[in-house]
Amino acid sequence: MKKILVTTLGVALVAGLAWATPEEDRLAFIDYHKKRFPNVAVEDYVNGVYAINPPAYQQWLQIEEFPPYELAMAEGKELFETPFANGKTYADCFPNGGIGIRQNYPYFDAETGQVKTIELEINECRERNGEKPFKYSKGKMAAISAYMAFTSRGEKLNVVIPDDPRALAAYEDGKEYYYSKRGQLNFSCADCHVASSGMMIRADMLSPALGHPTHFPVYRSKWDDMGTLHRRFGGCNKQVRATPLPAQSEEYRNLEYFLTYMSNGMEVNGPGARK
Amino acid sequence: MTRKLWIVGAATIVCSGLCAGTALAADQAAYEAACKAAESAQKAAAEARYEWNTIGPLMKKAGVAAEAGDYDRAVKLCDEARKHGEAALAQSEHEAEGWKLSVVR
Ligand code: HEC
Repeated sequence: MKKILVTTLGVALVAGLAWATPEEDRLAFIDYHKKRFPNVAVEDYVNGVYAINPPAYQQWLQIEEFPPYELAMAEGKELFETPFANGKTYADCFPNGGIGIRQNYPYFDAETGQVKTIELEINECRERNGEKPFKYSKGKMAAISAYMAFTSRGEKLNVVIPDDPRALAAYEDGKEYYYSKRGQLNFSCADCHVASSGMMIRADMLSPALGHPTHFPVYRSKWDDMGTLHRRFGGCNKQVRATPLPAQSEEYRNLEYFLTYMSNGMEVNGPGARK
Repeated sequence: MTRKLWIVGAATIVCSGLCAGTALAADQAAYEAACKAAESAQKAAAEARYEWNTIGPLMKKAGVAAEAGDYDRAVKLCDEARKHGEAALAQSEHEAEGWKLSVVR
């Protein structure tokens, strides 16, 4: 009897090592960042690496004076407002006509049992209205997503994990992806953006994970182009010599669900500009 | 003198013929077998969502070497690709539990 008790306790302890509620995870995440960068205010993490790198922050402010994402945003606005062949528009597919809603994504859709991202729903809207879907990583998709993010600036991320075991499973799946080492270099997302944030990797300072999704899609100088969050995921997979998964694959959507939940309560400030 | 040379010569010919057929020099069949093994390791890693992006390029290089008739090199490259696939799969098995150790709490 005593032996059984001890064993059960042991199992519970090991399981407990990884298991916490999403809200416990989020609070621990913030706490970790506060300890790691005691001089950085939580709301400043929306600025990515610039929150922890003052000289780069000054350069970045100058870039933001003539934002390199402006062209894409204008294109996105036009695409967003131009009716489909059947006369309908994107506004017909989204709550509040698609304006100021970015903070509610991604969300768990009880009907399909899947995590829905804004890019996924942009294409669903197109296909429902007889239009061809866009590619997910850049181009027109990034432009529309940029415009929709812009209309939501200042709104606070509000990712909900409903009381549904499938939603919790999706969150856990994203969390597992985030902490799992992969690629020939055997690094997890967390190895770089949690345990090593603030350290240099070749010419780049590693940004902290907190606030990561707030400013997407992003104009990245290295790409000389706009990219969605999933494009960035793919790039980070490649850095460790892992084969990227397709943008909007279930794994990446679940990863976005976890990662965005960690930044709940932070302001949407997309589209952004990064090196 | 001539006889001695003849023996050495014959021995050399016999050896190179034999060895080519076995271990020293690979042929197309050896390449195809090594390539097939690499492909299946790659597939297993991809199914686990743990594929490394090193595998494809190694197999491509192997294909180029095979085309040029350099089966030795082609086999070596395929073997390397297979090892990467196997390591990726082992990584997925390790991380099935291993990821829990680094969760922020
Ligand atoms: C080998 C280290 C490394 C790993 C592992 C890694 N990244 Fe990155 N990541 C970088 C670097 C370098 C950058 C560019 C500089 C920066 O912002 O950190 C970056 C940028 C990002 C950004 C953009 C930040 C911004 O402000 O625009 C996101 C989001 C991101 N990574 C997410 C991930 C995710 C999710 C994973 C796991 C799939 C991951 N990273 C794995 C190195 C890494």
